This record gives sequence, structure tokens and C-alpha cells, in this order.
Amino acid sequence: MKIIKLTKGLSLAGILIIPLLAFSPVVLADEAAIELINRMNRALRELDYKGSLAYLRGDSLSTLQIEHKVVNGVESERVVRLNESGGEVSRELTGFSLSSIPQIVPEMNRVYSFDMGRTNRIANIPCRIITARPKDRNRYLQKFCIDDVTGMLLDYMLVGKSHKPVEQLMFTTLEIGAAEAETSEQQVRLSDEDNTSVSLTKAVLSAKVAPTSLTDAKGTHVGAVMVSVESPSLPQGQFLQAANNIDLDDGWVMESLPAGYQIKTAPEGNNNLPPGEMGTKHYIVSDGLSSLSVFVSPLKDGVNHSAVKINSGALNVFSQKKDGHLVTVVGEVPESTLKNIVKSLKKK
Amino acid sequence: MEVLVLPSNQEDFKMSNTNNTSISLNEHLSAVLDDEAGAFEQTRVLDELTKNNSVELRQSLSSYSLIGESMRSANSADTPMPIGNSFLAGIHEQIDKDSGYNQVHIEDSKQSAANSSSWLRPVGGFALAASFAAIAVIGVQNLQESQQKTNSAQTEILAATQLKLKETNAVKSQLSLAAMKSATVVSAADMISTESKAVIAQVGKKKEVATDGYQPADSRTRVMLKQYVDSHMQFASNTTFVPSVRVISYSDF
Repeated sequence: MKIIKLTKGLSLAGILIIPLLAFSPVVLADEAAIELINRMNRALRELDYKGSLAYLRGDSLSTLQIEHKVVNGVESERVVRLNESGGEVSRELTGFSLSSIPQIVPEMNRVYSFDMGRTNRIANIPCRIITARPKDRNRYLQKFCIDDVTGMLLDYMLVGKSHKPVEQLMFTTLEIGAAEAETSEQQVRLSDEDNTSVSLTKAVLSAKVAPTSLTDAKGTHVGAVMVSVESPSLPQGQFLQAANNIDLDDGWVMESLPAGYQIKTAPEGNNNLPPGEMGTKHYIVSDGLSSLSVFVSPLKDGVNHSAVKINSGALNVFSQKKDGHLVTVVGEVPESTLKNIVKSLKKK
Repeated sequence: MEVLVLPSNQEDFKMSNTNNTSISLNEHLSAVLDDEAGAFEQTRVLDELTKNNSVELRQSLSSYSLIGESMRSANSADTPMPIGNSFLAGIHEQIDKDSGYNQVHIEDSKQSAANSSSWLRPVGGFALAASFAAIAVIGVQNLQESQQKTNSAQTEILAATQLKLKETNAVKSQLSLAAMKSATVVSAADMISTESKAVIAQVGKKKEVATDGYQPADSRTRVMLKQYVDSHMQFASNTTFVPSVRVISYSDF
């Protein structure tokens, strides 16, 4: 009798345990992938690193230099393009940014499938491939190659429809280490339109000086894009005004959102917008991995408000008139997602 | 005595109580072949044979004919008809075997051709050729006459045109020099109506529009969009440094 009972008990346990054993490796792999992506986000903000990378956008290839430092708790980054018309972006990462908030949560499994892939080697550093595979067509597939040891992102790819990459960044050289001695000056060589090298001396990493444009010795603008480094230092986590998923400001309503996306209102006092655009409302729509911005601005006299569509690699921009306003959506999501967002936005 | 193998579709020979129509038709068919049927029966059988659904009746006809011929040929010294499913195939085979008939027939034809009168043919041919030549001559003569008429008409027209040109020049010469200078020069573009110009302008504009209905962004719109992109990169991007890379690339627009 005891043997029969024991046998029955073991059989029952086996019936319960075997599915769990079959299921658990998948769950563990998903959780491990999510954990590695979260480590990557922290590493990108906390580590000092510099290197060069190749950036593929559609059929256009660029090479860039990247430098990221954390000095006295203030994060700074500098990105310089080494080919074509050059260009540089130097900024201090203060103020609100979605990238500063841990975004990957287990609830995202309903719109993404996280797969832990094989080991690869990028910039002579071993890394693990993580794939965030969307479960619908409202977002791109994202592939990361992350260093297991440091959590540093080494290769990043966005894949659109027909399995074609729309954007890819890959480090070709990378140094991860302690912060170097702070320098007040750095010489940068940029080429003007006549391909003659022009030496510029400027303070890039200084917290006080904030050049807004790059000019050569003759005072000719060389086409750089600069973001103001003197953004107001506001504490994090206090800017996102909780907005109802449906009711927005000024009588606007978002009737529906694609699965997994949430809408929030961006912080006020946006220094990036020109004075004429101060009446513009900026909403952020994000699912944790993919995000887009919705700008609603009043129509202006003498301005052409025709429907405009622009694509730059993974970035899509779509603008059209709606209910007496100009609605512009910008994001690294498929064009169809942007159009659906505009369609869902209505004025009461 | 040879044994004849009947075709498999001879079920109509069996007595069937269920299909009286088929029995009567086959009986009539047999009577027709034996020349024992009346005119009405012959007509009826022929009508049935011409119908599309009379496959069985035609097969019966083939079988009855074969049987009858076999029975008749069994009493003669000739070789029996070849056995086959197609009655016509057998006939063709028999004709092929009788090759002498073909050769005799052809040779007879040639012979008959050779035996025709010898003097009639060349005379007839000459007459035919002469008639053709006469027709050709008459046709050429007609053509020449028509060409002469055309030339004369053209000459008259040319003369009239030249006369008119002289008159026009004469009129022109009467105009004063001042009047001619004051005349406005009219070009083809000026001849186009206002409505047509609007259509042309619209067509020109349409060429600049993208085929999917979106307008290309002008410089002011591009500046505005770049600022929106900057704001998006600052607040809404999920990954550090990647936004800066995108901002640089977007500056190409």
C-alpha cells in the first residue's frame, strides 16, 4: 500500500513538475535577457567610455567618435562625425530623459518576446546577442549585443519589415575605463566645404562654456548641430505629468493607442523649441523600448502646412493639419504607427 | 469454322425487361441493316444515331455490321475481315492491302492527261497571254492619262497660289512702314488661353508632389521639424548616445 501511494505521489508530482521544467528555461531566458538590457541602460549612463563606431542608416554609412564621461555626478557626452560634412553634438545629460528611467519590465512580454541569443565578438570584445522581437507591426525589432562583464552596448540594430535593417550602430574600437584628467581645451579638426582642414580650439567638456555653433577661423559656419549644454538641472522623476491615456490637454483626446504604449506629457519649458513654438504641446508615447513624440501646435499665417513625411533610417517624421492645428509625430517606429497615432488624436 | 469474338457491349442481345426502349431500337437497327425495316423505322433509327447520347446505339451498329459481314464473308473464299474494335479501321486496312487499285487509278489519270489533244493547249495559252497583254496596255494608257490630268491640276493650283502670293505681297507693300512696326509679335504661348495656362501651372506643381500625396518640406518646415526631432531625442529616446548619433545624421536633411 505504501509503495502504491508513493508511486501515485511521484506520478502526480511528475505531472506537475515536468511542464514546469519544460517552461522554466524559457522564462529564465526571458528574464535574463531583460536583466541584461537593464544592465546595459545603467552602464551607458554610469560608465566612462570612448570609442569609434560605424553607423548605418538605410544605405548611408557614417563613422563617428563617441565619448561619455561622468564628472562630479554630471553626465556628459560628445559625438563627432568623422566623414561627410562632419558635425558634432556635445551635451550634458541633465534634465529629464526616458533613457534615465529603467524601462524594461516583465509586463513588456505582452508586446515583446525577449530572446537570449548566441555569443558574438564586436570590437574584439565578446558580447551576448539579445533580441527584442515585437509581437505586432507597431514597433521595430531590436537587436543588442551586450558585454556580459560591463553591460556595455557594442552593437545595436533596428530591423523593419521584410527583415531589412533600418539602422545599425557598431563599435569598431572601445575603451571602457576610469575618467581621464579633465581638459579645458581640445583641438578638433573639421573639414569645411573646400576640404581644407580647419583647426578649432574650443572647450567641449567644460561645464561653463557652451558654444552653440562651430565656426572656422574665417567665421564660416561648418554645419554642426549643437544642443545647448546649459539645460536647467531639474531633479529627475518630477517632470512626467501623469496624463490620462485618453484625455490630453486643451481638449485633445487620444482615442486609442497601440498595445503596450503609454502616453505622457513632456516637461514644460522645453528649451529646444524656438520662441515661436512655445504654444506647442509635446506628448511622449512609449512602450519602454520604442518611443515617439507628438507635437500639437497652432497653425501660423504664411506658413505652408501641407502634409509632410520624412524618413531617416529608423526615424520617421510625419506632419499634417488636423482640427485647426499642426500635428507632428516623430519617432523610431514604423510609419504606419505614426499615422495611426495621428488618426487616433481628436479634438473634442 | 472461325470463332468470332463479339465486342463486350453486346448486352442488348440479352433479354431485358427493364428497358423496352433500347430493345426496340436495337431491333429496328438490326432490321435496317438487314433491309427489312420500313421507311418510318429507317428514319427513326437514323435520327437516333445522329443524337449526341447515342453512343451505345452506334456501337451496336458497328457490332451488327461486323457480325453480318463476318457471316457473309465466312461463306466466301475471301479472307475474313480483320477483327478489331473499329469497323472503319478494318475497311481502311482492306483498302491499303488492295494497293493495285491506287496505282492503276493514278496511272490512268496520267494517261488520260497525256491523251488529251495537243494542239488546243498552246493555242489556248497564246490567247490567254494575248488577253493579259491587252489588259496591261489599256491599263498603262489609262494611268498615263490620269497622271497628265493630275499634273495639269497641280499646275493650275500652283499658278493660282503664285498669283495670290503676288497679290498679298502687293497688299503688304501698300502698308506703311510705321504700321508694320507697331504690329505686335504674337507667339504660340500668347495664343494659349488663361484657363490653359492655369492648367499648365497646376500640372507643373503636381510634378513636384510626391506620388503618395505628401508635399516636400520647404526650408522653414525643415527647421521646425529639426527642432521637434531635437526635443524628441532629448526627452523621448530610450537609449543614451544613440539620440546624438541620430541628431547628427538628421542634420543632413
